Amino acid sequence: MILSLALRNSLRSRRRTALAALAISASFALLLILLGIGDGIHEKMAEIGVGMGLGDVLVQQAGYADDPKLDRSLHSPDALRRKLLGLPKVREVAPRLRSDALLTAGATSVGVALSGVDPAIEPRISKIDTPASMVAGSALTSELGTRPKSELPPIVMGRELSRALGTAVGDRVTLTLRPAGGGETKSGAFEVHGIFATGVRDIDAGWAEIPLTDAQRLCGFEGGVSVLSVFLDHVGDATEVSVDIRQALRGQGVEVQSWMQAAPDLYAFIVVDQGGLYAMMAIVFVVVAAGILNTLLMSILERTREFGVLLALGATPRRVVAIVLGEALVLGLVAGGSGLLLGLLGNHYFATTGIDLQKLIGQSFEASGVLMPKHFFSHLSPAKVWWSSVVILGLVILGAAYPAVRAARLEPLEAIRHE
Amino acid sequence: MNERTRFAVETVDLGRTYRQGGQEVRALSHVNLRVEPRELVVLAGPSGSGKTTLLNLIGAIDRPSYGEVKIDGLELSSLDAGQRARVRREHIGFVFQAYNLLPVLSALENAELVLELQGLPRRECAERAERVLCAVGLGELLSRRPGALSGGQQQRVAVARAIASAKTLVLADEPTANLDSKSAEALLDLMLELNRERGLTFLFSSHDPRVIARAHRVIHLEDGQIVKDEVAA
Repeated sequence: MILSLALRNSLRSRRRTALAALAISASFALLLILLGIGDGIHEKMAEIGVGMGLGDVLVQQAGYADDPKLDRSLHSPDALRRKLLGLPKVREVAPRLRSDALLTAGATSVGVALSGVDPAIEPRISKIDTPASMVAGSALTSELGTRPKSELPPIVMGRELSRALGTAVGDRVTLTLRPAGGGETKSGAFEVHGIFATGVRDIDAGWAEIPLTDAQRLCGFEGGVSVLSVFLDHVGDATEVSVDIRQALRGQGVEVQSWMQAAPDLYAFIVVDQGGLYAMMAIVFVVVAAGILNTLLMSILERTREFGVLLALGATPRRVVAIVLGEALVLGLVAGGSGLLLGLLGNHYFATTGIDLQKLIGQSFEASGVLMPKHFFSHLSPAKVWWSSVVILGLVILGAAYPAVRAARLEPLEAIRHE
Repeated sequence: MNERTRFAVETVDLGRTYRQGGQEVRALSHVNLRVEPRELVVLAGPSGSGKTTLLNLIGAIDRPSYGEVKIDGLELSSLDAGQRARVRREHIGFVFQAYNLLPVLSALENAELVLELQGLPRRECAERAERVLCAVGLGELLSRRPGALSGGQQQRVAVARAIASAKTLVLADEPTANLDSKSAEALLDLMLELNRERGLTFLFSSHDPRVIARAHRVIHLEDGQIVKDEVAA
């Protein structure tokens, strides 16, 4: 009868109950949609960041992150790579040789971050050296490794860099760097094979890639690899997998970094943005709690006499609390349930159709130096649906707690006399 | 306590004072009262004499300023809110002057309510509530809500609610005050019948001569004190 009493009492002031339910439902639905869009954007940002010469997880020689010298190269990178590929959730492992270099075209020289990459692997995981990023020429491909010796080795570079050097596809450029072990600088001639535009300022203005074997030759470091970039099935698993890798490679003199550690600026941007989302969630939660509190408090004030009668008939204070919480639960389940349904429908729409942010804000969207794509898709994790539902229901109970205790503490006689 | 000394109701030097407009009002002063089991007692007296205050104290819905109230030998003043609720639930049936039925519940559900509070199985609650409602002549109106019942019918539901849980003591505050003559007679006949057949103890507050005429004992109150205690012939 308590549930029946709760249900009927909820329907006594239909307009007030409907308004409270509408506020809770709409707030919860909006919250779920914004959470989904926010997570979708953050995931995309992470994906783009990871694809820009990073990786979900990086495996390097110990000390390389603090002092990235050519000398700090991985020992037995092939064996390490095979071991990494055998780990769960690992999709690909890309060997890369990194060095600072000077790129010269004619009389112009520009300092660049040089990356020697495996053209057979890179197009599958990178967002730099891929046909999609190329605005002129083409990406490095595995066939280039078998070119005639008479031909110059290929180089691809960012659009801003090529503008600064005044080069175009087919032009000859010279790379100069200090080889492993120090000593005299070494130079090599390369032919501009492709020009890319990733949307990341630093990459487009100061990044160049050449085949790994040519990089190793130029650096005087046969078989040398600075970093093994590990790519996972899902970027969200980076922390968990980095722990697994750390355990698997313990004692081998390597350091393991998740992309969050390797790109702290990007990660900080995402964390701050998520913080904004959570602040908004807090506001929604306050609205829900206030809605419940107001609705039930009004309802209980109006029914003071009835609670007095219940107490006079022998209802324990605990039973009165149960009746009020029952009403809150009815309201919470109906409003929360419809909010959940609306939120999931909204997320489904934005997960399939996407949202055109450029159209929405009227310009391209850049975050932490990363030019974001036009379209974003919502990605709402089941865990977030679950815990936000639990929080909403918890808040409903919390919002009802004060009215419930207030009703339970009524003195029967005073309550019965209440007008 | 010896069974012989256990009264259905016993008050010892009972008093109740209120603060009203900064002044102390003595609603009840040093009342000593004993009601035997199966007695039908009427508290009579003019308005403001303390009848309702005494019923409220005996019914454990108000607390005395001093003195004791014992129900079936159980002293109430030392009990906490939960224990007092249990006494109300298991020992006392209360018929309020203004009926005080829950408007969202039907007549049947109102009568069932106390039984449910006692923790009886749902089906038993429904069967017993239906039985007492039939006994008070409302067998045809079980599903009606209080708003769709007349004053007399609502009072009958209130009586049914009070007696449905087979309590030993029924307190009724001016039970006939809002009833027409016919309904009042019918209600009083019903209570007398319950007193005779089920051995319920009744304590009424009333200045209705019809009620007083049916009582075993009439206790007269004036200015919060018992001025006369007479046994009916």
